[in-house]
Amino acid sequence: MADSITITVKLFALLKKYVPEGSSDEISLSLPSGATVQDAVDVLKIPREQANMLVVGDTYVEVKTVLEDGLELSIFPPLAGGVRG
Amino acid sequence: MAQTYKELMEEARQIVPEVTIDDVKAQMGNGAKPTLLDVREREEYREGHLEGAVPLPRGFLEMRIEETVADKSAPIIAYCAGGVRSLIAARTLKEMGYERVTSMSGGYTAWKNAGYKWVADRQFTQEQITRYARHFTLPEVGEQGQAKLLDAKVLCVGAGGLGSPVALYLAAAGVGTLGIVDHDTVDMSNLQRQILHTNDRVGMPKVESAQMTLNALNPDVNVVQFKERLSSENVMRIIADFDIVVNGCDNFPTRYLINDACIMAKKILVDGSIFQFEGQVTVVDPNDGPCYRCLFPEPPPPGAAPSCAEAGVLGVLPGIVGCMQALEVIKMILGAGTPLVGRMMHFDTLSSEIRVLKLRKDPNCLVCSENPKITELIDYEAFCGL
Repeated sequence: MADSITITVKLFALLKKYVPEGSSDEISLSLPSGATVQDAVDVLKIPREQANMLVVGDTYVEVKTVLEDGLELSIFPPLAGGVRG
Repeated sequence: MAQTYKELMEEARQIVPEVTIDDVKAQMGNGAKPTLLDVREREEYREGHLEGAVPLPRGFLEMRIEETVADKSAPIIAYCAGGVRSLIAARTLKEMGYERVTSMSGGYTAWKNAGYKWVADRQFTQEQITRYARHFTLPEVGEQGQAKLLDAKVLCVGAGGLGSPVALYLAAAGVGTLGIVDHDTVDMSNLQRQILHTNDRVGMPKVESAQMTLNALNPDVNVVQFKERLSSENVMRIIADFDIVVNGCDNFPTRYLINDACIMAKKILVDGSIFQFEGQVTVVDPNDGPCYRCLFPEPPPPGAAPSCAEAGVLGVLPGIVGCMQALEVIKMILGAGTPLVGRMMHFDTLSSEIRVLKLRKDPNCLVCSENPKITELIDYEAFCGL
């Protein structure tokens, strides 16, 4: 088994501010093999309470889900608006 | 050799078996499901017909029968007003290869005079027939669908960026009762996206401006104004008379309030939200879930999610998301297609990417699970840390 895996992370709406400087919108992330979704969230310094909707493909995953090499993780925050006044 | 009318009818009787109204009633009662084909003119059908009968006027018979009844061995009972047109129609069907066609003697007149059950479709005015003509042509809408739209009661929370396209398209589609909740007045800075309102209405309550626009578009629509801010105190009263609630609000406390209220009052919720260039739409079925809290159990901390007033928004975005909400409302009313229940559509306008995500119901959801911990409305401002 390889020592590390590489995944792609896509951040949406106001989570885009956590895209690392110099990275494209599709963040390539190298993690130790056996890393979980939570590890990816932590590496990107996203506050845990803002990482509610974690999706691989079109399906929800839990924070404790173990990541596999090559997959794409999308993280969606809640959106507020509507547009106030 | 040319035939007289009498000869033509006699020949038709040789070819087509006739059934009595009592035979038809017996067949309908014993679970046999023959297609009842009403070959009268559309207006005659509208005024009253046998329950479950398919309208196919004699003039369109040959053109449309194959899409109406594809199986040529399926039983068909044709009827008209008195039994003459249906006999001729049935003969034509026989010639087209339909094997089990009969004609109901005495027709609808005899059926009705016998006191047997008949139904009348909703009577549309001439103006409605013209206005909704493109709906009538769609099999998914038709006259029955239009009647459902006219009977529907939809509440729009907010007459702003999302609420404007929602209300405009629902009014245009003929949704009979539209409630509009908004405590605000029209501001010049609204007009970049809130297309219900106009320059000369700056300062006017948004609910009044909304009613003017909607009734100018379609006077059929009963617009109900609620010039108040939605709260735990008034939400149950306001949503009580509506079937579907469309969320076009602009803040998290109201979003959680509406979610909880809709679950508790068993109202369908069509939720839409936007941020700068991205939008989300989902439908919450109160009997099935998942609900907004299943997705986002906790609101983001205050300040973490800037409002659109702070962050800016392109006017087209609420236009698109509101149109998608209006579409979901119409699908729910008609029972057409697959609504976004248990799914969320996320639309990124900058990348032009639409993603449809499968949502999961939280078995421990505080509101929509089997044993909810929250069964009464709470203080949503405090819940959101405001």
